[in-house]
Amino acid sequence: MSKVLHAVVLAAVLAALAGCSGDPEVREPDPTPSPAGTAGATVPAKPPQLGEDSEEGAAAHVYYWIDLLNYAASTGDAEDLLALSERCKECREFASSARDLGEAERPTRDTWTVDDLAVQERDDSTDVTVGITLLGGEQSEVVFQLTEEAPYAITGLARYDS
Amino acid sequence: MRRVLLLTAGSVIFFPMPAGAGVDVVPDALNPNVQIEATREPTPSSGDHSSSSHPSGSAPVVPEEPSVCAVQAPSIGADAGPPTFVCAPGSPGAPGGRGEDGEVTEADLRRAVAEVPMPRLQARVQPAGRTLVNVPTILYAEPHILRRTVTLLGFEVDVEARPVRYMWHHGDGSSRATGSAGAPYPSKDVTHTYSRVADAVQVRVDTGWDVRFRVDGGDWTDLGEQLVSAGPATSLAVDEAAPVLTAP
Repeated sequence: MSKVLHAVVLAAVLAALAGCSGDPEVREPDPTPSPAGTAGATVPAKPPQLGEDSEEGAAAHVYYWIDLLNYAASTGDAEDLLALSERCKECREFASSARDLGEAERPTRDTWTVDDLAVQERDDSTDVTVGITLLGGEQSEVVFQLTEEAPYAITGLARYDS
Repeated sequence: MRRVLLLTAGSVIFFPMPAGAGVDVVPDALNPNVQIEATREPTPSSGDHSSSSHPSGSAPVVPEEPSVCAVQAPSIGADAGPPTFVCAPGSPGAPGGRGEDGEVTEADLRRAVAEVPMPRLQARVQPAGRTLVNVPTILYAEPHILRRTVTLLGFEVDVEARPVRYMWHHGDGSSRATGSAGAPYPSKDVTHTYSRVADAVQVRVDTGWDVRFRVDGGDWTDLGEQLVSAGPATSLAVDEAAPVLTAP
């Protein structure tokens, strides 16, 4: 066999053996508990409170959007995200950007991680402010503007400068 | 040129990964700090609502307290589905309060870690479903060490939980604590002998977990308190042994 083939066989054997190392009791679950679960492998499930006419419903709506954004960034599938962004120009821009990322740019972990979330009901809108940590550690604070009551629709996305 | 690979026990060889697997920085196109110009400070009594896609006109804002919504921590070991929220009026002012007043202390982190739900171990019984009085019924659990990364108070926290204590509730009013999780037949490590017949007793094991955590990849810190999870019940019928006559 050629030297290259030797190296490949050796590598394959060692890789197989490497799988046996370590404490057999340790079970590492899928990384991160946040949105897309297994890094975008499956379409995000709808949060149980989606559709509720309540602050929790507004929070769930926004969380779902972020979940779908992470999923779109990892997989390029932005169909549900765009559907949720119909009335929000900035949201559609993020959706298209997520959809159009180059293969080498697609993250396997969540792009936006929700740290904290607050809902404020106003006369003409429901504002959901979200503190997020971006992939890489940078932080940001964004506010989603929703319709003032259920059924909620996102009508705007802005950023705070705190 | 000959390349020499130095391998130690447990080495893993990394093959070239598919594109995207090493991406650990937010793409500019998805970075709100880059893509969206900041509008205003987050105070509830601020004036007009000037987000760029807001419908024309700025309606008068009634200054109200924002409600802070807590994401219910996903249960370690359960499928990480979407969370549920509980919203309650928070302190007036900016939600999040990241780095503004009050730093997050270690005590805050410990409290948050202590609230992470521990896995619930199912008590296994042999014989399953039906057992007899006056014979040892085997009990065991299937413990495992779990590691999970959760976001607590804005920090990425690795949590590791090890089961160390098992409190067996036999369902007949008695219970017993062990350091061992027992083992299936033929082991008689953890057993209980029922003395009364019953249609259904509910057997369960409560598990005590030693927990340690580390923040942003720093050193591991022991939580210092044992967290306990109550296991789901396993139903068991207890029968009288009926003598069986066989031909000699």
